Amino acid sequence: MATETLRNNRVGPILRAGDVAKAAVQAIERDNPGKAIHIDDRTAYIRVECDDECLLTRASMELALGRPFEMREIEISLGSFSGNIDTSPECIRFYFNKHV
Amino acid sequence: MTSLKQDEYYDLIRGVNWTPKYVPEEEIFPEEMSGSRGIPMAQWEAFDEPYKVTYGDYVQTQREKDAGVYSVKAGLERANYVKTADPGWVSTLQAHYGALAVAEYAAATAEARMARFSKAPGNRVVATFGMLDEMRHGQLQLFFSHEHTRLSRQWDWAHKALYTNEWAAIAARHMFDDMMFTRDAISTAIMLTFAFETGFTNMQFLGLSADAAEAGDHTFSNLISSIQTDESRHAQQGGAILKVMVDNGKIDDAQHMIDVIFWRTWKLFSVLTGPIMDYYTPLEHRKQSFKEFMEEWIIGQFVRQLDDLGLKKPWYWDTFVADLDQAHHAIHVGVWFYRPTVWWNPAAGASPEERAWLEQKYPGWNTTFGRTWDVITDNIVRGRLNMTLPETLPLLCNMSNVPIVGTPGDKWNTKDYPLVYEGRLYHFGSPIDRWCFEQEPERYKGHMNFIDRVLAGLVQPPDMAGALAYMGLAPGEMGEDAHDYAWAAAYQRKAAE
Amino acid sequence: MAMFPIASNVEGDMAIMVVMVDDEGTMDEVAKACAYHSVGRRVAPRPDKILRVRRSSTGEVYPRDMRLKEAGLLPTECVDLIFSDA
Repeated sequence: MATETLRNNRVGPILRAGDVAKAAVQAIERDNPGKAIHIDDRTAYIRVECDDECLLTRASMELALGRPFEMREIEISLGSFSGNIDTSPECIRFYFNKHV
Repeated sequence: MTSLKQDEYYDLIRGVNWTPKYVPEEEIFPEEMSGSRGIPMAQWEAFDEPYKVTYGDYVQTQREKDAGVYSVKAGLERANYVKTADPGWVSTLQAHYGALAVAEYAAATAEARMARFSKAPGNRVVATFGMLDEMRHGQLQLFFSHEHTRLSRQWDWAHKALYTNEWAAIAARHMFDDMMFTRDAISTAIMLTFAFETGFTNMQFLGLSADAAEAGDHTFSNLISSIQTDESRHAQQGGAILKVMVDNGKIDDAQHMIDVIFWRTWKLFSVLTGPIMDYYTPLEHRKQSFKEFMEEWIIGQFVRQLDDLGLKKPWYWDTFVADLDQAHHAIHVGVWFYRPTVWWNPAAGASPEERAWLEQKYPGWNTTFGRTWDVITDNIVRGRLNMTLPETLPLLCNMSNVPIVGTPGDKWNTKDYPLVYEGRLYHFGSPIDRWCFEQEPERYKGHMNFIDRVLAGLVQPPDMAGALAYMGLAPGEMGEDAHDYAWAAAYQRKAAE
Repeated sequence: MAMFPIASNVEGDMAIMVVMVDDEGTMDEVAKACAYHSVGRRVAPRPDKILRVRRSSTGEVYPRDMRLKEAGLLPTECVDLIFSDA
């Protein structure tokens, strides 16, 4: 079981429940076309993950929220994340270096 | 003057370093505090944390976070959730606050050490934010728990616990002191921010927030998940320090530190988080089992990331995986049996419905831990409450400071792992606890766990009454069964038939 | 006589108890003192069996009439208490 759990390539944000989390789900679907998006809703938090790399852009967040959005605001909702992270004012990238 | 975009100036300002002229580098950054391990300053300057925040953004974001948690608290204050909550959930809150609130405040010191002594300029900047984060966590959790002090004296322990010699407080202090107070800046970055905060705090601050939301405690759920957003950011210093170490041939050193602290943290969380999730949280509000949360957060997420960074699973991996079915169940029996020695009221969590859930989540529970609860339940049914309470103390581990435990019943494997070092007999709960000691005996050898103190005559009289007095537990503070044995009612009815 | 601390690991129990025993006492008396803190509290009694004392570190089962002080145990050293037929 533990070994199976370890064999995954899921990366992405784990967001506290709320409007930003809902918007992030839409935004991630838009920012990662053609990828299967895995969503685990645990009431208080929601995992939004895809394999190997997951992008989240400010533009898509604005579209989903229907209001201006600064990338730094994501931190208020970003309880955790899987994989590594790279941040910039326009985009956050979650990724693994290695595929297993 | 042209203003630069954030991503243009950020790297410049947070990478600012200087070349000292009047004082040698080693006086500004003593090795004992900096822990640079011979890696030159220029290499540390390559530190590049991936989760970037400017001070202006930091202040604004933190203000918005606080506005959020305080407004939820204010909005729900009238609902008075804690007064009407299940007693098992109240115990969850009391255990959480007592073990962690003051430790969070202490973590500010660990962050401050990195902010002052790390040779990586970027690390000093992020650690400054981390220091402010930990003050926030200490203050929030002391403030949020304080309003309940009118309800019972046990709530006082939110602030008081870590200043006492209560056994669980000694255990928590020993682990936190080892990780946060007695390590150089680089070790702190690896052990505290990487292993502890990227890994285990997710269990207590996000995993538990899911149970809290299910239980209807939105104030607490919102509070702890907000705290974890800070942790997620400042935990990143660990990964960035790790990269510098890996690039400079120090991967084995990093792996060793992770192996030590991963185990130590696991033992502490098996006491704190395990019983809360699988026994105290009311059955209908359990989002997942403790083991499932461990698989989600620690195995699937944290250990998977270790692999991605070029590190290995801890060498004792198989023992750790097996311990997921054992440690917290055994400790839970111990905590419940020794309930007068803790500052919360342990919920037994052993009603027929709860046992069915445990058997489903942990196949074989009934013929192992269930056997212990059979005896306890029988004593309650027969009105022999004295037999559900201790008259002597359990043997404690000289590393984790918690009882040495194993699986009872049909798969009995309880075992002491002893070591004679410089003429003193030490006891350990596992070969790994003993291994941790053997890595650095000088660090650990002087410490006295609760049993050592009793045998040295520090606890007087040397019996349960003396032990409780030494722990600072007065009537009204000592734990009792959270539900006043109501969980045994179904067995009583069955016995009556 | 002197009271001597041993670590009592009773078969079937999930923890080890620190028990003070008279070092003049026999192993049967040691077993009785150890059982008091485990059997009937967390371990079901087994009236058809007797508890034998076994040194944890070596597996040596002590004779029932052997005095504790003759065993050469260190203070707080662990002994297993094993349900046996004789």
